[in-house]
Amino acid sequence: MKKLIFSLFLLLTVATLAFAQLGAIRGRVTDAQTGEALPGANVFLLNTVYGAASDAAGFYVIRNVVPGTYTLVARYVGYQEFRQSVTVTPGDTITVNVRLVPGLIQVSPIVVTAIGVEEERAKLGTSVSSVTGETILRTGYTNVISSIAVKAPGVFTIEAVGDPGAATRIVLRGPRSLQTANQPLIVVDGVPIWNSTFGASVGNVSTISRNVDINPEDIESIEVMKGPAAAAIWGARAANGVIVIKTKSGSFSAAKKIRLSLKGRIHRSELLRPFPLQREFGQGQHGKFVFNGLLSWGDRIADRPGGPDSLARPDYPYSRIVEKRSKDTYDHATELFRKPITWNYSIEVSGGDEWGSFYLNAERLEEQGIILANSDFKRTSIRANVSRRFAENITARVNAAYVKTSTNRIQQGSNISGLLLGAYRTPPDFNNQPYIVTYVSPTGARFPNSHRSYRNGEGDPGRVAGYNNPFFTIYRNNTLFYTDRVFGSAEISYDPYKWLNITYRIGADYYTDRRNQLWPFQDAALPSGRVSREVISQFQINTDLMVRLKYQFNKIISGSFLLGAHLDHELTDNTFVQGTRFILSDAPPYILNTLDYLPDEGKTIVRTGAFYGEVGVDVFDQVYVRLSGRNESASTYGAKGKKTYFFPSGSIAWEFTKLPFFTTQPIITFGKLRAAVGVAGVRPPAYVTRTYYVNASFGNGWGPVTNAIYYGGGSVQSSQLGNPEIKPELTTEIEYGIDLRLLSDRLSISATRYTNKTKDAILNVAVPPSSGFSTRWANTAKIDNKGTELQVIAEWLRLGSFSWTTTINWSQNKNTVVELAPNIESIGLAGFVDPSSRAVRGYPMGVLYGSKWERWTRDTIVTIGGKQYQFKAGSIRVDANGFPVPSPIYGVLGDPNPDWRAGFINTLRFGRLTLNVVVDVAKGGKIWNGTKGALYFFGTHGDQNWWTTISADEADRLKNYLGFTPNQFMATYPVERKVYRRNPDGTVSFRGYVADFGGGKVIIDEYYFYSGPGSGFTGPAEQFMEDAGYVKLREVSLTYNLPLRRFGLESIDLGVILRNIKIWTKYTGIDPETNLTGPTNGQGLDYFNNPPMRSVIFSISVNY
Amino acid sequence: MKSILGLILIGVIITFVFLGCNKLTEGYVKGYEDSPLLPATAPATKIFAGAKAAFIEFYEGTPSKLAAIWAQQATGADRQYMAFDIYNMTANDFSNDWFLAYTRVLTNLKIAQQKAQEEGLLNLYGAAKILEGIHMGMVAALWGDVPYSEAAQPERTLTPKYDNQIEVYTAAIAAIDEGIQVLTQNTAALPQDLFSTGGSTAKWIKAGYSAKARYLMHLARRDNYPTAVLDQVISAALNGIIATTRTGTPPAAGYGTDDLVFTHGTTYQGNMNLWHSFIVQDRSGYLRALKCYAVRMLGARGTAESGRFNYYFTADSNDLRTTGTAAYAANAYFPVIRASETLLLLAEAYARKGDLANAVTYLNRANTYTNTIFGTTLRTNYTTTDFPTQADLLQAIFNEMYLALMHQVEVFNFLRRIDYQIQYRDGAGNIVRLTPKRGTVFPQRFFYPQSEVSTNPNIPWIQAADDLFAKTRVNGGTR
Repeated sequence: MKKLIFSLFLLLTVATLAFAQLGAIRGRVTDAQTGEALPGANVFLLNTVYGAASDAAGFYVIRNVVPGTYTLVARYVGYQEFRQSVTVTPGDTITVNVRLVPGLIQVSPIVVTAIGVEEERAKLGTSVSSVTGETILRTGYTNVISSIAVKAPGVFTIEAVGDPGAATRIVLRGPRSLQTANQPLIVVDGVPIWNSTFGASVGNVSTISRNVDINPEDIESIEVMKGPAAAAIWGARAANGVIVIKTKSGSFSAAKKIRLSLKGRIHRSELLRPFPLQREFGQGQHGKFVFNGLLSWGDRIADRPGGPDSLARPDYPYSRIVEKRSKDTYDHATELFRKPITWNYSIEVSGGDEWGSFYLNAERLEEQGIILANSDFKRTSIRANVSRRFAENITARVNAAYVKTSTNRIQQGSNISGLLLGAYRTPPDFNNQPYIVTYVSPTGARFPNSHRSYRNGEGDPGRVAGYNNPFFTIYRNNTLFYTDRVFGSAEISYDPYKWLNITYRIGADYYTDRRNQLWPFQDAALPSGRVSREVISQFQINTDLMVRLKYQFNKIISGSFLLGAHLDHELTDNTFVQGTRFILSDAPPYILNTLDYLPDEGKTIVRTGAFYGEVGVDVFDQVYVRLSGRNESASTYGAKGKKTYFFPSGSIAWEFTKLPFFTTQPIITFGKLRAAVGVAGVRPPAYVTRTYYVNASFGNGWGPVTNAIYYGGGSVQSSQLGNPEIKPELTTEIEYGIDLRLLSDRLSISATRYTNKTKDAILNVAVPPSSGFSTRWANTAKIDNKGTELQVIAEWLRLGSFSWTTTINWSQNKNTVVELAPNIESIGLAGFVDPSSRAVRGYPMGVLYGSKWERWTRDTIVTIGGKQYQFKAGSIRVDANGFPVPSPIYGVLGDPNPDWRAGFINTLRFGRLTLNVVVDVAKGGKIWNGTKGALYFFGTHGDQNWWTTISADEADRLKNYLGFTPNQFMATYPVERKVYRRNPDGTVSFRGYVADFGGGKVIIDEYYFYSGPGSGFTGPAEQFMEDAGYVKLREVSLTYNLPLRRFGLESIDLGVILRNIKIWTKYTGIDPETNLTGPTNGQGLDYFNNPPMRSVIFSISVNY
Repeated sequence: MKSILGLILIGVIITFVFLGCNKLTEGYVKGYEDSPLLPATAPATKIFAGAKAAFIEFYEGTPSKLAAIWAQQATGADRQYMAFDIYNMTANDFSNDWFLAYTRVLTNLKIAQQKAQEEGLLNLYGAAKILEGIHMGMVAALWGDVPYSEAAQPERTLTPKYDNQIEVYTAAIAAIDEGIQVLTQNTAALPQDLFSTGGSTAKWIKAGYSAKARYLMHLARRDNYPTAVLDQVISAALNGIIATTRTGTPPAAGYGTDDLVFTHGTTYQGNMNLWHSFIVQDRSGYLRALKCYAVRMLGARGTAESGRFNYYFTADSNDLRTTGTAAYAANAYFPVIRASETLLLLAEAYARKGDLANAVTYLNRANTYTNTIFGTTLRTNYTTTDFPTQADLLQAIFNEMYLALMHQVEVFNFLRRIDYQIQYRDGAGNIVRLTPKRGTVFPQRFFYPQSEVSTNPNIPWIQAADDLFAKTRVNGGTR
């Protein structure tokens, strides 16, 4: 390879440096509405050194331009950016008059393609969605992926949890890979960067995806290439699409003016809405108070006498409560949250002249979470983008960023150290404050710093906490991640002829992610304490050498040709050490202060090498054909199969409005029909081509582990069977569509229909464990996606300086797992044993799968209590007392994927005041409310404040889950249980309700929930599936641009952004847009997830 | 001129690209195919050690806890364990244990045996065969018809067939026999042993015989304990673990000189006692005593049992003891086969044959063992006259066996074999029988795991909730 590069350079230097005859561009800049001249507007050719400023009468001229095709850009404060493609011919001066429209942000006519080359949008055969930097900033999100939610059709995003910096999942046109998380490749300035997510699990802290390291301020534009048709040029990294980010560059200023912007933002956040918890019944069981009791099936708080509790040891205020008297209750749903206010600021300096440009940005971001403490995300980012021309035809540029982030995170999810797990399970009559006490034993011994929780109300260090006191989780259970990252690219571009360009680009991305976690002494999960240290580091280097030719053969046909070579080297390594059981319980967290150590490490290196090319032919300047191909080798392809694969794509676009017929009609101003097809892939994961031997360490799913290291060491065959024939998974995508602009561009419609079919999808196929392996790697799965994308932009109203525009982005995707592997019905993607999110043959990927009710297999007549009841086949089976029966076999519970997703974006503009309202709608989809399922067991859920009175007759007749009638029950347990209360009139009251499951009325009391199938722990997950549809007021922003041409100022921008303001949903949890396992393929799981927040952001930007 | 130069340039580039293309890129990626950290093979000794560690995790893990709960020697007291306590099980509850049993234990025992033969380590081969027999007998007892003849042979099939439970028992006993025969001829000590044998092949042979006696007794039940099989039980048991002397290193509690036990250290997620890890570190509150049947039975037996009571339970009868030299201290050993079990098997076999004198002798020997190990003061001078009928003697033997197998997986097999016929007299002289926690029947098997249900077309039938209570063949069932 080195030889090749050397030879090419040799050739280039041998080629004569010839200067062609130069051309020029001139014109006038005016206001499109008033026709007034706009003096001082910047007009320049994009990514070149050519430019000028308009004079007092609005005229400009750009001289000495090397002939070729460029993008002419005009910018003026308060106006929409103007872009147009221009072709400069030798010796000629062409005229381009620029009419700037105040108002709306429109889609740029220029698109940066997957390999970082600019192309006119009109010539694209694929539907590429663009999002401008301004739109991104207006959302108020600090991570790029969240900010493009509903901004374009075909983009499906979901925010995992509400923690600052938490990962957001993005899937373009549906998931198609089982072994990856289906996240698109992110390409910044032509070079791929990492967007890895490590540590997604059902417990522990919420995780982060590394796209948080991109400062949204630095983004000029984002192009979303949704699948292989647009992105095949990236071969086996592109099956999930590519997000092409272009960072800002300094813009040309004729006066060599240096622009300076100072920006400040104030964030204020709060809990979106509280989770429903009951406050009527106290700690205990059988209707009686139980000190340190697990459950909240105790007495009715209203019936207590009131006043202070009677204590076993009056000298110790937290001692055992002998008689619960107090009626005080506590709001465990909101007491953990605050409304933080934080300041963020940035400074931006940029400029440019005919020899070069520069852009510098420094940002300091602090985002505080709504949890009382230790939940935050901080980022310091510095970027320098510099370009310089060395000669008329050689340009070099370097874009580089250094980013430091740090984040404190709070334990969540299925995790007895987790915040909401402990909080929501706490009985309403238990005060979680203080969470730390100095415990005094009956003999007078003192134990400072003891963890007090509702299951250890005395704070006795001799007992375990059960679940962490949520305040203990917040203040003591610390997690800190901090990252240093450098990424960027350098490029040299050489134009020996106007029709030839040679570009060499090299990009590198390196970061270390350090993760420190502490479970202090007396933590519920690890009573003897644990400290862990992890360093994850990733490095990649990508190089591209590209040769591009453009040639106008004759008046009818022009052509372009591109040839490139790509090499990349990707290294991931990971060092981990944990120490368990502290020696000194209150010492600072330190590995050597523990008794048991567990170190680990991981390392993978993946290399890819490829050649690629693209041929473009434009006929009659209205039919555009593009063909591309990539020939790629990767180190992860199996030795027994091919080592090199070919990924082709092709597209055709016909701008039919260039036919003579259309030039004479006023309705359709632009129309294009397009079709495209492409093949892209996903590389196999590293090191699956053979079966390895691993350390003999075994767990059984409940925590205890046997590690042969402590018995002299052992080694066992991996349970994963390697496959030397593994090859990339291949996705073929076909899309076609139409783009129309009507009524003087006031209505724009774009519709796309696509299908993508993945074959040879890589699967770690489950095999019967009795075979000797539990899984084998294979290319066996087939996954289909079919969908429709629709974008309508309509400017309803334009009255003077007032305008109202609505954008609708509507997407619908139908995913089907067509085939997994022979005999394999389903495989787990994420989640719990019950339920899990799985790929099930014949269903959409990610369906929730778990325990269900047993159902009658045929029409059945059952006799219950002497009466006959008829059941249809398929209805829920009931037992001899009429209660539903759980099935021992699992099945599909529901599909978390929405039927469709839409964004409604309304932009109202009045002069320099802009109001933007974004409504996000997701229709359909299911979510598992595991939080509710668990709380039903504990008796703390908001639903469970029932109080029912039944007649004396019913109290003699109806049975509870244990098979007792209330009267029998009271006779059997006259003193020790107070579940039922007989009223003077003979009626009976109890906490619960009367239900009928088809076999006659039964009594639902506390036993149905913790002994019977009524809770998520003891009964089927099926009963906690809920509709995940929602309408969300995602963003409301009001911005004002104040031109202020005094004191050297240019303008001041003021803004108010309301983010995630309101949600309308049938979901009974906090927010259906959540997922316990982060951006993984497993979706639709809500189990004590940290809650989402809503925010108000004030911004000010002073521009010099 | 310029365009000609340009065309030449393009031509040269294209030629370069398409001639060298694949070669160049494939050369660039070569040498990065394999993991820089993991080996592709290992020696027999280390694989056998790995298999043994997996056996510990299986045997001392969930199966023993479920056995203890269902035998009412402990109580499932929190969340899923509350469901287990009243027999609410799903197929998936057994996936981890099945995985350990097959993918970890059996597979690596087979690989270790093959490598041992290649490396000429026949003593290791023999020990691995015996362990395979002990293990597969247990697997057959728990699940019924299970894969064996085709199991753990991925080169042959990835979907092994299910063998009849009786055939699996027979094959497991055959494996033990083969192991004993090989070890008899290859007596060199094993280089590395995770169990209490210290690598002694003599101890491995004894363990083999004890296990053989245990499984023959399982088989005997099906045909109502024919004399021929009982004679085989006696013959095997007499060669098995029957020493009543005590060994073990303080501060950990002692065990019988020849007992097969797992020895433990104090490292969490390393070599710590797995019950200690579960009760203290991982799942506090899930597994408790809560005055379960065994607690009450020991209590009713009075001070004679205080040694054993204190070994297993806390003074308030609510928890399992995890401190000092108790059963579930961090470094406490966990028994696989105790001498008392083999001695009581002998007693039972003789009693069933009508040889009551010998039966009483071995009952006394078993009590001697218990006294030595736990500091109990059980009677060791019973005579046949203490038992009015053969049934009375058998009941006494059963009751002792029930306590001797405390918290071991085998207690579940044993109870099913005798139809859970355990009883004691309370303070008032009333007979208290072991009765189901819910409904009228006891569990009779483990479910086939979801991992097998959803992958192996040979799974014998589609399980329903009631199948948990269906007897396996060896206990008189039909599947």
